[in-house]
Amino acid sequence: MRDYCSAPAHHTDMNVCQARTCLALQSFSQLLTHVARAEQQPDLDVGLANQLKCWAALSYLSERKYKVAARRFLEVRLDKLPASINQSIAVNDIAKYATLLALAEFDRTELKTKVLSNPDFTLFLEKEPLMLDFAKSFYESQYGKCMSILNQIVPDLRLDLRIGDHIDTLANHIRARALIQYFTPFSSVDMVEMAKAFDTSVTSLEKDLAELIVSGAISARIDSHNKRLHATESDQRYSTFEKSYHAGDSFRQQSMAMLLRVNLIRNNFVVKGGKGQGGGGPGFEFMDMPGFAMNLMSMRGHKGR
Amino acid sequence: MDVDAQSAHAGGVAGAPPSAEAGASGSIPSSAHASSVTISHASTGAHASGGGKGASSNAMDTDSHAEKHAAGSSTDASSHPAQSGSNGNANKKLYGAFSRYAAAHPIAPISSATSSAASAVVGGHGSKIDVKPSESFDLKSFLAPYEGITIVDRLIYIGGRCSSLAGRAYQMALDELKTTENTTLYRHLVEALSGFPGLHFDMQWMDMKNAQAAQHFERLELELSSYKANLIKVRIPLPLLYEAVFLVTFPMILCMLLHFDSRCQPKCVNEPRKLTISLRLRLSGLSLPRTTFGWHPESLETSISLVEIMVQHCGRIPG
Repeated sequence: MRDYCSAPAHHTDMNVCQARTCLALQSFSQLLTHVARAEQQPDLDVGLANQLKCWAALSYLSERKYKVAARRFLEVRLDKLPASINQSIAVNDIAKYATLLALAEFDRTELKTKVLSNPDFTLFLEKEPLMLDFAKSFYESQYGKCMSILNQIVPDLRLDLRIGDHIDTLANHIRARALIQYFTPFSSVDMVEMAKAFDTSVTSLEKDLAELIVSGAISARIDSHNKRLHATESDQRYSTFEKSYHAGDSFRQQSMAMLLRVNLIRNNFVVKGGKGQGGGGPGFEFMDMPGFAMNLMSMRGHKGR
Repeated sequence: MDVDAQSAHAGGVAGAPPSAEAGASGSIPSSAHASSVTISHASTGAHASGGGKGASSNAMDTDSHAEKHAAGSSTDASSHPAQSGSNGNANKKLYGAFSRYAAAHPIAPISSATSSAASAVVGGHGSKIDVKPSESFDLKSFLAPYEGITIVDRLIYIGGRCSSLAGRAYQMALDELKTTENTTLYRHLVEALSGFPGLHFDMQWMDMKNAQAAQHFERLELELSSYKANLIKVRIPLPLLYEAVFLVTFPMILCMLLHFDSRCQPKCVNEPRKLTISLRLRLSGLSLPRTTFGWHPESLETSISLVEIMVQHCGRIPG
């Protein structure tokens, strides 16, 4: 069909139709291709561009590229969305998906600038007050409220066509990030208090913390008897000295090797492979043995210094 | 499967698949056989709504590429015991073009929601986790923001994930489809959910829509034939009319050709070439609706009316 398109508008129409078909068929890799082609067309309608951003975000979401998906969702402007967007995704869905993805993937700075202080996205969040509370409570470290909202929204979102297969992963990411943020300032934490703060049981919390420790997300030890979590502090001074010592030793060895090579060349100490042989066989030729020995002696002297 | 009185087969042999009767008549199961099917309990794979031959029922479904695509289809007869039997090839033909959509949207009720027969119908997709929604979850308000086919997609998804909502979701999907003319998806749902308890399948609606589509198609064919006959009277070459119909149906190509011809007109020397260009240029004066690339009956109707005008124009063209 591309051959029959003579104007940019025809190309745009064709790519949009193809992208819509790919969305219906859930062929998301092809969807991204068509969206990219449509976005390259000049004089693209703003509403259509926003719709394409939504589709691209859905595509990234299906491919589990959550951070990119969140960024594409956050680029969407509510006032520029066409009415036909409801045929693929609802406006409330954009608020839900973007918030969940941002909380799961963004750091605090990005969360503040791109979600909570983003005037364009605030319009979406106003349509979903629960998600606004969710994002704010996460950012303000009110983890009890945050987890309560998360537990409230997850069951229904499991029935969502677009995010249903990802919601458990995203919820686990958000929970892990909250746990890390909670524990970071402390050297020791009472797990009973922590479980209360997260509105969960100690057993479940202990399991989550164990997973985080195993994955290396937090450096800590669990005292199961006393139900405490202790941070394992590394000795920064010792590790710095250790690193500098190894760096110096490595430099000395490299210098020695270089000096040895220079002296070997200077004293014509070469190894020649015989004709028709695999090499390394006959032929050590000590052309200037006394000079070589002298230089070797001087090299040892250099080492001593 | 227990069906109500409306779905009793006229003259059918007890225990015989209803598709055999339908196949003998050479059409999909008519409303006389299964006008309104309510399945109260799942038992066997044979069902009143199962696909009949359907050779002349829905012209849209029986495309030439059907059999090529049917091999990888989730609606393949081998994956659905309800479709197996003498009508397996007919179903392949019916859903060939639909196979990619069906593969992308598998209808898979979870096992706890269905009987053993129903889970057999869906081909062992019953291993999914049963999602329990919150108490405040309302299906209608959940679907309120959406429009179009996405409602059906979402209902099918919910039906496959949540046993407590599956029956209602599938019924809503069937009802939603009845607001459209998508009999292919309706039939697909009917066959995939043939063992699902408590669903009401309106086969009469499907028959009616298919009949309407067939009538519309026949009417268009007749009109085209009559135009062909008139064309002979006014001595206009037939290939030219075909070309004109094609060009008016696809205005994008027409615009491209007009653009081409306006540049190439001075180079045309012979009469047929001049006639073609004249025809195309006359078509350019008509207000053509801006359509998409897809074919739809409205555009063909418009095109036929335009062809009628064109024939009048051509009648005055010398040569």
